[in-house]
Amino acid sequence: MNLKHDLNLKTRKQLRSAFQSVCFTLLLGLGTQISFAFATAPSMEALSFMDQTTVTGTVTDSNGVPLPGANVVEKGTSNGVQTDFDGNYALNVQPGAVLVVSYIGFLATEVTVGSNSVIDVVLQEDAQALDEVIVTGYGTQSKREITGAVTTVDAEELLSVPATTFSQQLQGRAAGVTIINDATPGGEATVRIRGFGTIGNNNPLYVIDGVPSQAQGNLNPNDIESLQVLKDASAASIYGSRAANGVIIITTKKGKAGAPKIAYNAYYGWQTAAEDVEALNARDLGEYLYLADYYAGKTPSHGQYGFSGSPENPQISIPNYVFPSGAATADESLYSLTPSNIYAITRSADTDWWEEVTQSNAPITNHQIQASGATDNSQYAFTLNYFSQDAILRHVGYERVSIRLNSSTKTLGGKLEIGENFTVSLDNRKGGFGNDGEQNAISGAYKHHPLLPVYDIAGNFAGSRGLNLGNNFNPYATLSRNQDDRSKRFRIFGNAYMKTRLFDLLDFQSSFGIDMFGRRALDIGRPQPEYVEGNFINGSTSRFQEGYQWTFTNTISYSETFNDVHDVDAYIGVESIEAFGQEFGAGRQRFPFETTDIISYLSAGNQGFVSNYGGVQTDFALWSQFAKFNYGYQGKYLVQAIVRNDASSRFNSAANSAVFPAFSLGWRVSDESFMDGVSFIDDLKLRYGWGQTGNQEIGDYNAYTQFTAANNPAAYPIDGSSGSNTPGFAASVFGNPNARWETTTSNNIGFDSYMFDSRLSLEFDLWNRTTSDLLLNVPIAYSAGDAGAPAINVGEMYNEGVDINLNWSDQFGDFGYSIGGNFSAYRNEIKQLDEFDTPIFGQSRRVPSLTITEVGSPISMFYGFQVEGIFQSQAEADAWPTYAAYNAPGKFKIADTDGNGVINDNDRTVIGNPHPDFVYGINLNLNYKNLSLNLFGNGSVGNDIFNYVRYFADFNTFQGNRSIRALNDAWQPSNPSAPRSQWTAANPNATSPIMDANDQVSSRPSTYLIEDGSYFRLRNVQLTYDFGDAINNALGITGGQVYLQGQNLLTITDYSGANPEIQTGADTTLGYDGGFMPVAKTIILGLNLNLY
Amino acid sequence: MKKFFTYLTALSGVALLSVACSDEFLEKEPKGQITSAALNNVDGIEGKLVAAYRSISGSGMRGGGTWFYDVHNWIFGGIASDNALKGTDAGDQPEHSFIEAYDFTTFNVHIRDKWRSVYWGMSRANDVLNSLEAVEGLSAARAAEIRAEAIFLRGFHGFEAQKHFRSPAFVDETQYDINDLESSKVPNSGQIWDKVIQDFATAAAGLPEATGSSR
Repeated sequence: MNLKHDLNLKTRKQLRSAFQSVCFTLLLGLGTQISFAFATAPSMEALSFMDQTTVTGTVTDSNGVPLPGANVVEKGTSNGVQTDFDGNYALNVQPGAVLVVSYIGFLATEVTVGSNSVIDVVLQEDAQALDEVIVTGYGTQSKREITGAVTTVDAEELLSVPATTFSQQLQGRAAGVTIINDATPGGEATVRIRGFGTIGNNNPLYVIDGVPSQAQGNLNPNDIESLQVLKDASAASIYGSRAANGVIIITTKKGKAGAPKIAYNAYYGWQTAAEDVEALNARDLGEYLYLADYYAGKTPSHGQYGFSGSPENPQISIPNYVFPSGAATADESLYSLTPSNIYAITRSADTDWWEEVTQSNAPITNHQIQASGATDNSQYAFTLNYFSQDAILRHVGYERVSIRLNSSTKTLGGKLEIGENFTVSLDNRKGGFGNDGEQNAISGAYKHHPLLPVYDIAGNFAGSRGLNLGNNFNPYATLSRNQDDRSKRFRIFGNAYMKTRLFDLLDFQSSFGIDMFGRRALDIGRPQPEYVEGNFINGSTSRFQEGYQWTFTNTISYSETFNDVHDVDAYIGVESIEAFGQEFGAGRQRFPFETTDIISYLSAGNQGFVSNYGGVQTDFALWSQFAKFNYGYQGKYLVQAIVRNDASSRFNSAANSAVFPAFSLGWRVSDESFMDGVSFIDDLKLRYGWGQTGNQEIGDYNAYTQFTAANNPAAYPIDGSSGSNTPGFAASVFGNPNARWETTTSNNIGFDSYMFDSRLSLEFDLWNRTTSDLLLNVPIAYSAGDAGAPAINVGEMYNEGVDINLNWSDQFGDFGYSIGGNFSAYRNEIKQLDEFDTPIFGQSRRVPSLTITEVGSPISMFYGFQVEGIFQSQAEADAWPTYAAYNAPGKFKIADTDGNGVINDNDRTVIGNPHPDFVYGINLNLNYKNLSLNLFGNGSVGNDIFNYVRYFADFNTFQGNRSIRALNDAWQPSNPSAPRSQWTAANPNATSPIMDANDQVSSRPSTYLIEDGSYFRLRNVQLTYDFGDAINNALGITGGQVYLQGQNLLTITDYSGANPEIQTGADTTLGYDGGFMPVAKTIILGLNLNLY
Repeated sequence: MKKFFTYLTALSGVALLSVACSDEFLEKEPKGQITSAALNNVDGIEGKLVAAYRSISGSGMRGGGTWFYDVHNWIFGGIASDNALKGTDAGDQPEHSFIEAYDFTTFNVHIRDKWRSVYWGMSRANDVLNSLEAVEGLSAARAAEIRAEAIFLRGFHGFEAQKHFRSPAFVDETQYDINDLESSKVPNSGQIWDKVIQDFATAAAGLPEATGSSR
């Protein structure tokens, strides 16, 4: 009706204004170009030919290798050329002029033009790489001039660790960046820069070739040329609106001047699980259950095991069949597994479920072809990559194909450059495994009963329909039935840009970037009739999501040096961004067959059992203006100022705009005269930065109260029907029209230094940041009703920390080595929440929420009871403050923290801290002639983990298996046949409580379930052999390497779970281990060939 | 001439940079979601009333299992009164065992969700009452009926609240405002039987003795 018409009108207006902007810009660019094609000619005519001489020569490095693309410029003018492929140049200059010859990675050299018309120049390598160009913000700076806290990660180091995404490779490489990996193939890493700035979304912003994105997945890490992490506001605030959590800038590979290069890289590896799950075998589980019954005061009995003997010496007999329960014989001809008759005869077994669900030597492989090159006017870089990884769990895997083409061309005398960077990637996650699931294969390996075999006597999957076998899924059956589940994604990411020079003074750049994806997921639900709560109904769900984000950026920049000492650099720009994403899904049940060909396609399902849904996932727009100004005096005193104004559609128009300023100062102390005597310091730069950045990661429609007509919350059979519901309208989300930007103000002081002939480099930063107007989905009072809470600006959070990067490298003849490390620590504190400082509790599952976020503590601390030991006798239990009817020998001594003589909820307190004391990375490189050895490891110290799997594995929570600890470390009396009041301890140093079938109190969240998650992992050991000339000539290639690599060979940790790296979805529930896939020990063999 | 052209393009460039995108670019109204304004009609109010009835069905709240606040009260009535034995494994819904043993803790999720459900229902009923005035096209007779039904539902939830909790707060439509999250923070002050009785009386006065099954 009218609504539809108005919407169309609006969309048209938007498109029109976007179109107008594009037209305007193109016109502007083109217009200036044409006008300057005329304008530049006259300036050349001003010089007189008589005065000039032509100087020629070759520019080479210290080994005599020519340097193509080196700059040869007449000092103080813009008269200059670049050397050609052979390093040759020719330049018309005035006699007596000074030539400045420079090249990236080398020290610039000045040469005076004398009587010689041939001047060859040899450039020395710049060990400090201070001329390295770094992309910061919308422009570039040389490392020499950076005043903010920026860490550059060497792309070669990054790529030395094979992984699915680059963020996984970043782990341990940069101080201040904490990365938690997901060991599942195709999984993405959680990236945190300098702690946690907010309670909602703490993900940093990724900028790839100038196009911002918040999704890091399915981009080929091998395309990365350089990666910078902008850590503090003075560097990141140029991205103002979304930079509060830091920015990671990635530049992809471009062609380099010189002969075209074609390379082929490949590796193949074998993966095996690094950790085993330790659960009991069938006989020991029987002993646990016997004792648990006995200590609960019951006569031990079980539907399967035969119990006899005494508690001092239990006799456990294992039946031949688990279905019929505990039977010695069975008439196997009675077997049936049909909806009308379920009699699935199953023999007993002693199954090690971890063995059944995992596989050794799961393959991981990667193939890549790269081609790149450049001429004077254009460059190109092309990559084609195929990556595939099977998980250490059976029937789970990932593969990806990606293709990239970057190219650029200069025309109109080098004044106009047009280019593009584009990549298309397709990836596919196979199989059904999700981390952190009660019934996933990892949890199942702990919980599924060992008496059960994988298959019953008829070869169907065996289930727990017998007595006392628990209610877990057969973990192998789950993996097998879900092996045809797929999640396929395609992604197109890139930008097209134009750069042009205006008035010979300004550079104008316009870039249009796009990030588009589509994802198709197929979730096949094959029934589990053998499952004790199972049925025969099959189903299948299909889902499609798609979305896009476009970014249109225009900048004008100015760069000039006055009087040789004043360097001025400035730019201003505007940027508009719009994103939209939607999804829909549908499902059907009761397919006639469960073969993949039938059940993958919905039409084959029963039309009477249909479900579907659809909605919008992303919908926002941003409009920003920004400016940056840099001034440097002789490279010694550096000043930078940034200001950015952002407006976001997520806030109401009254408050949707905010300004984010920043500045930073640098002082190159080593250039001062008083430092002349200090010879061991080659370069020392002090830096200070202050800035503000913003965050707007709230729902796209935060300002609106919304209603839903969905069945579950809103429908009711008001006509009394027993079959169908009348739909209604129920509030689904409350709105907050008054929300505004969250602001983070940060300070950073530090220094960068090179010492001892640049063999030692040290970067040190001390920083803090305060987030105010924290956007929080404050839990609303229950009396307001039941709907989603909106984000409200309330509260303040504070972080401070230190980052250190240290590197030493040296060369003795043919032997060289380097040792590097980084160290980062952060402290987080909530300064303020709402007016009552109401604490926020994290996720609660079967246990009450065990994380709390409250004022005066870091975010998401563990919360529960404090266990002080175990009662060794009845007398001890009686002397302790009462805790309902719980205190008894062998049970936990719970601390009476409020000292009132009674143990209850008020004695819950903060019991653990998931934040690490510090994280670190260590890198060691050794090379001798053609061989090099690299060792890299990283670790975390002081973080706690709540091992939720132990809630099931250590206690009699559900029927099923228990951990070895639950039996072997349990407190037991030395005289169990005696009355309880006379019990004495058999193992007073026991760490687990007495086994008790009726105990539901010991499993309440307490320090017993909190473990130290500190770990060190030797992530990479790599031995590389570089082909020498002999092999190169024999193979007809220009270079190559072969390498042998071991990943995750060693993990040192006290944590008893499968993986101390816990990645959670919400930052208010950190360190909660509900069953995470362990990392794999991998051996890889690889080959790199430079074909041409 | 050339210079003029260049200055012109330069000025347009500056103009481009300072001209903002149209305001509509930054206005994103919810898509696929229904806003309050769209519900100010007969369909809207009838739908909100149906959703208010939903609150007595014992399920439909976000994040809660259905048994916690089932209107048949089989946990708080059946199990707590020893009419039913909880059974099953110790670790399966231990909250029932604690209720069975009268061991009430603040982190017992089932007790918490019973509390939530009471106000879930009251807030829906209050929202129906608040929305009645703005509705166009509703007959006076039907409006009176809707009012009575909503008041009955609110009274029912007040009844549940008083049965389970010593001194619950009672939120009525003059206090409740769906757009103000602070409005429902009404202090409690002892028992609310009088308010419950008054709601039932008002509802009874506004509703017929019996309704046919074809409503």
